[in-house]
Amino acid sequence: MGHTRTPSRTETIVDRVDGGRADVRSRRFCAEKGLRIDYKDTRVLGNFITDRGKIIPSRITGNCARHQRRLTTAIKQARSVALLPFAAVM
Amino acid sequence: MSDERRTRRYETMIVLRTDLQEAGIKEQAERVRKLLETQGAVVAGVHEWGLRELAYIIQKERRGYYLLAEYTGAQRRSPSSSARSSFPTWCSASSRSDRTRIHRRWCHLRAMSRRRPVPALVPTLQADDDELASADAEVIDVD
Repeated sequence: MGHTRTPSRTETIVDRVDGGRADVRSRRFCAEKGLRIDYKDTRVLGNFITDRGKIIPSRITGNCARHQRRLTTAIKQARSVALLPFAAVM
Repeated sequence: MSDERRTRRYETMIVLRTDLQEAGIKEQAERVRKLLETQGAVVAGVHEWGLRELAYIIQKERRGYYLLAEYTGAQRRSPSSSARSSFPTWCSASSRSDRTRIHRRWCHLRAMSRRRPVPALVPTLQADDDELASADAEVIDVD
């Protein structure tokens, strides 16, 4: 069984492999205080949607619940003004 | 209660048709500003983002001209709230008249004053008016 490291406040365990070894990823918005979630900032929001335009879940990205909520709201606001797609054609 | 708490900041994003000329875009920006000001809002600015590719087709248009209006209004029953409620009417009217509008959505984000500073129980009870005034000024931006 692998060694499990306790994540800090700016990290989260997103996956456990080999029966316990934790894959710890950074909570990006918690770690970078200057990084703001804004519906107009499509460059940042684009990192959290798939090629098809779907919102990537926090278990993949490692975001905390608070920032994931704000992120989904911002993505939906950006969609409403056609800055981000609802569904992209592959 | 200070003015900081009573006012909210809003922003309205407007997507104009691409067939508008430069003068038409300026005119639309001015109309947005006038509408807001007549309803009592304090307009911080109307920014022109320019021509951008739309993420999806709107009324057979692939590109749109983005305008962003930032303004401040009071918290409750404000003149600016009536301005915001009259936006759809105004937009539909203008699209009927000269078909300048292809799409208009407005996202009024939470104002800086939305999140009030959480009062620490004991210090707040003991604080004098000056300390309360300074606490009002330390409003944290939410978004």
